[in-house]
Amino acid sequence: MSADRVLVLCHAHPHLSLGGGEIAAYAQWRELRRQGVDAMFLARAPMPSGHTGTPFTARSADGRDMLFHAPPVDHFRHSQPARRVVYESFRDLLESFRPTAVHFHHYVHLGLEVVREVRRYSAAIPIVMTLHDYLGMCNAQGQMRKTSGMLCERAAPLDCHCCFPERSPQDFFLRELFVKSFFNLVDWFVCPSAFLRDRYAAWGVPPERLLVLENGQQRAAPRPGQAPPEEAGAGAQEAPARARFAVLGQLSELKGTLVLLDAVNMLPKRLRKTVRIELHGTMQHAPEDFRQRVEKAHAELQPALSYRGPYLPESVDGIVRMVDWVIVPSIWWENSPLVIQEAFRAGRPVLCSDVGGMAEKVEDGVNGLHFRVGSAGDLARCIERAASTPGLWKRLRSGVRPPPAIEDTVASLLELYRGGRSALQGAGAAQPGTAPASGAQHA
Amino acid sequence: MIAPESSAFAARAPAPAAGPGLLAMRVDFAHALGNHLLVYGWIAGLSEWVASAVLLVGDGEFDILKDAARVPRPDVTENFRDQGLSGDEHGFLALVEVPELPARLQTLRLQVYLNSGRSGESTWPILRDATVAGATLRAHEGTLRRLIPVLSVRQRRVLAEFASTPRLNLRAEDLKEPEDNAGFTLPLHIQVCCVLPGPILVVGGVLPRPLKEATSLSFTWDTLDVDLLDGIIRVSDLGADPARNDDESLAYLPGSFLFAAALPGEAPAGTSEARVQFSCAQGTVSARPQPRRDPAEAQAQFVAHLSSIDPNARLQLCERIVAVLKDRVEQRPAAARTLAGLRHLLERQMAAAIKDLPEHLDARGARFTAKLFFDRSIRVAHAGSFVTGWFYADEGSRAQVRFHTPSGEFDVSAAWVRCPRPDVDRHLAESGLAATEDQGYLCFIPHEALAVPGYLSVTVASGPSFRIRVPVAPNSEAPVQSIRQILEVIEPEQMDLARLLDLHLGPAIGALWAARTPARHRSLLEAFGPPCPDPTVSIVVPLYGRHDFADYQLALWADDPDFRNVDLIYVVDDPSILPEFRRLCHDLYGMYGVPFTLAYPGDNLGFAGATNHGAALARAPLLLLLNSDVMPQAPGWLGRMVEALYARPQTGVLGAKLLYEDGTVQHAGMQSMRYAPWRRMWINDHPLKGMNPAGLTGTREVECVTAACALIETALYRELGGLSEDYVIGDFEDSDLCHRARAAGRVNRVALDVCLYHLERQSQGLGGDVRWRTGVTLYNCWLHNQRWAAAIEAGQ
Repeated sequence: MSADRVLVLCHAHPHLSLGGGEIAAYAQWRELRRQGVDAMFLARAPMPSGHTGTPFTARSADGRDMLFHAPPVDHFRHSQPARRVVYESFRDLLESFRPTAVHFHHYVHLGLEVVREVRRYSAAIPIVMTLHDYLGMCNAQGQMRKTSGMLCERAAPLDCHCCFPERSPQDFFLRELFVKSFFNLVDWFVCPSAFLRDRYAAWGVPPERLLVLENGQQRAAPRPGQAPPEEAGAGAQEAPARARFAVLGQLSELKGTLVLLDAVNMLPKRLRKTVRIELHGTMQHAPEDFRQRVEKAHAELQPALSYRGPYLPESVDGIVRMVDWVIVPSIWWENSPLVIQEAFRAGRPVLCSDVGGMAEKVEDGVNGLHFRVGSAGDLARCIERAASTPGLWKRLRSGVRPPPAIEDTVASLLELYRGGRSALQGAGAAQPGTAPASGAQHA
Repeated sequence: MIAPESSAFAARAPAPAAGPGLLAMRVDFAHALGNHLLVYGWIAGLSEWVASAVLLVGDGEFDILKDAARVPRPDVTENFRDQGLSGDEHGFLALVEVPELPARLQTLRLQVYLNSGRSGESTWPILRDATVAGATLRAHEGTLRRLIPVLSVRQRRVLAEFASTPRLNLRAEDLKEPEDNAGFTLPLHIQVCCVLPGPILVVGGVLPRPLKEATSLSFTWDTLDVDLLDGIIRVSDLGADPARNDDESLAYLPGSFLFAAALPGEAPAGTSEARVQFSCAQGTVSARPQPRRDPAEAQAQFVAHLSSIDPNARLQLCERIVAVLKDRVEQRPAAARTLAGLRHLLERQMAAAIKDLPEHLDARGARFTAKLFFDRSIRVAHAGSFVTGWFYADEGSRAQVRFHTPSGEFDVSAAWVRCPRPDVDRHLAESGLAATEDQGYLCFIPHEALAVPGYLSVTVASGPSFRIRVPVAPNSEAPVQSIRQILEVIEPEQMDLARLLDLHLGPAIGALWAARTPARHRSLLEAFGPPCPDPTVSIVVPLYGRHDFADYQLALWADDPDFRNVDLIYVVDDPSILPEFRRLCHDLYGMYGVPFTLAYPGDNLGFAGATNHGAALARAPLLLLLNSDVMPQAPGWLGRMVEALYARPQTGVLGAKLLYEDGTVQHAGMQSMRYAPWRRMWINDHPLKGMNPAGLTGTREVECVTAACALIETALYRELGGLSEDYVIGDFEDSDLCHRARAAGRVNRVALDVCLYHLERQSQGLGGDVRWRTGVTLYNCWLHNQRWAAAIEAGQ
């Protein structure tokens, strides 16, 4: 047992809300524990605790899996209006657990103030923050996709005002100053993709504090009694070609589900008889008309396209192994999509949009294929090529490397935690609080 | 009003056929009493166009042309003017004797034949209910009273019966046959004859012929012999308001007159009979009034008569007497006390008369046309009134507009600023009039607090004088609201700016702004966190409209070591944000750990007032004035600013380099610059605004700096008297302070190595109204120029 005490904060608990960030944070906490570190997982919960005078409830007897029932935040500047829960209740928790390092997986729903309270609690311990999206700079749900639907290249007060005319450029500038006043207190930002790192560096976060580090995956255990995956595919009766595709995860417009539906419609008739495209995942948060479109496609395009419904995280390997390809058609930049890691873990090449974190993780022609983001026609051509080019699958399959393992990621993080802040200062990095606002850079 | 059909008067009469043969008529009321009917109405062109007009009551007939009294009805003239109607003789009053008036008779008919051959008949209700009739007659009391002189004594007696409910002030002598009438159709009728304290003789009545025909009019009593023509008030020339559709609008009988003058000695003992004698080419006629000389009786008669005449005449008579009284008191100061009662009575009467004056003038006579309308009257604290509206006088009718109060008068038409009013031009064109000048006007009328409201007189050079009541603005308007109303009508580009500012905006807005009475009793002072015992700088930040700026500032200051020695004062200058901000304060300190003081002066004081309120609390030797929308770029700026101030002796006000959020220059010092559109007044220019700040380093001498971020020795700030609170809302008070520092021998500087962001005007409370904002700036600019233009020019 080491002397490390690591507090992992997350904007939600994966048992209550299944998202990539939550899963990664929880996996990290479990791995820390597995490696003998005293780690606490503290996830924000949207419902009241039901306990008077404390915003915390426990999900484990040892008090290491905790919920933080913090009131809703101001989602423009990510500020917790009930600051008392921060500087009193959260402070009590810090004093009681006495962490030697604090790792944030997002600040959304909690409010940025928790970062400042950690720094006020201790000037010495390292604060690490994993960035899961572009929320710090982007008010459009942190996706850097303009409200017009165009992908956005950079955040700047005037541009942001164009997306949200009800907020003045000055308000966006203040938002930036405000967010940065808390970012200044963070020692290390963990970026799961280089793409995301570059975006934050361009926004003004000192690049020396931005580390590219994958969230890390559990290693896939081969299932006993089954043939290796590639043989299973080759031996299937109905689709002798490599023509089985899957889309996994959240199904939504943003995840490109509609692009895929359109692409299937555009496939040549003969191909539609041979390809099998499965949609796995939840439409829980999708609007009604979106669901209707998926159900209609399911009814009309069978057997080429079928909707298979939600799945448990544990069964993802099994689903991926039953297909040849995984499609990631998101119409926003993404960061490091979990589903790409899952595909690679199962040894499946990926068809993805040619932008952002997706294009970074999947190399076109090496371990997958790119198609133009948002283009159903290009996706249709891509599917046709994948399904009908002899030897392509095998070649791309051989380019797939397993994703970084969670053990390795956590080992790197422990080095950060243990290096304290001195590592940062020794590296000649700027002091917290001296990062220039990006305004001057825009000039 | 009698019945639905007759409830509307001339202006709403049924549309008649056009042309000189216009056929239009109305019975305003017909009231039955015993075997008499009292009928009041009009027929268009009664004396010119009508060949026959008959009232048909049951089987009986009544010839209006022959037997009815004629009543001038200028309201009818006005209504049908564009159809060729002229002259005022349209009205009639008939006392119809019907031997037996059947009880079931509900209506009468009015049958009219015109010279042109057209004819028509209309039916009107007869009123019998005494209560309703009484009420109806009361509404026409003034008319009836004015008709008394033209009625025969027999008619008067009948009228007296009708009039038993309303008071017509029919006196015994009205009901007596006149002594002699020398062949005149009308008597010499004396309505008032009394000696008021002073002694002041008041005589009034109606002559049998128009006043202009008089060769003599005298009053004799004992040894007294007064020439009434000397200083007579010709009531019939006062001009009535034809736009008013009520009874009071009746023009005067041509011979109406009023007279008032001081008597040389004591009042006559009254041993002999008094006598008024009138002579004209036609002959001589006299009347024997009984002058009231007992003060109480005299005043009672005087007041009764006043209540029977038009407010215009009432005012003129009272003013005449006030003037006479004033002379008398000047001659004999001892009389002041005994005359105070009369003076008070006159003031009350004048106030009542002014209340009865019309609120606009719309006169179109044969020789002139004059129109004056108010759009707005704004009370300017205790300094006067600000009026706007439009005025028209036709070419050649030079008109003078004056404002009258008991203590003096003000020549409005010599002072006012005229402005184009295209809407009025269109309106005039519709009535066939061409605009003669810029018809709009605005004017600040200086006057002290008034016991008697003031009124305007419009004197047309070729015509009579008209009096108009100035609409009284509600007293409750907040001064700032009044300033807003004044500025709403300002269009600097279309007005004579020098006159506008010097005579109108300047004094009016200055007085209003000075009249604010902040509710200081609601002030509040609260410390959050332990105050720094020995601060280097006191920072005063007013908050207006948005308090979240404080949240941003504190988030950015929390990690700045310079803020450990600071006395931070947030002054809430906006009552509406106080409760929420106050609640937030605990959390702001709890979260950021920067101690500060919340100061609330009790009200919205404006930028200067709020800053001064905070500065009075300052404990440090240096004072930093800071806007809430100024945000630091990085920690350490405050220390550098303090260093820059101490490094150079004789520094007055020290500014910083302020950038917009896009990184361009917002402020690097201010420089006076002439502004051509505003008659070359000096304004504060921000050189390099919007430019790249590259190369702006070091500390430089400048004329002025912005108060958005300004460092000054606290003692000097107090010595100079702080920011001037004379500027409305906030503008120019920073350069005003800087000019005062210069005048005290200091040098103002800007520390260009100290750099902050300024989200300019995000914190100002002027809202989006451009006209209001421009107006405020214009006023403040004017005030600043009044004070500093000479100094600026000397320094150029």
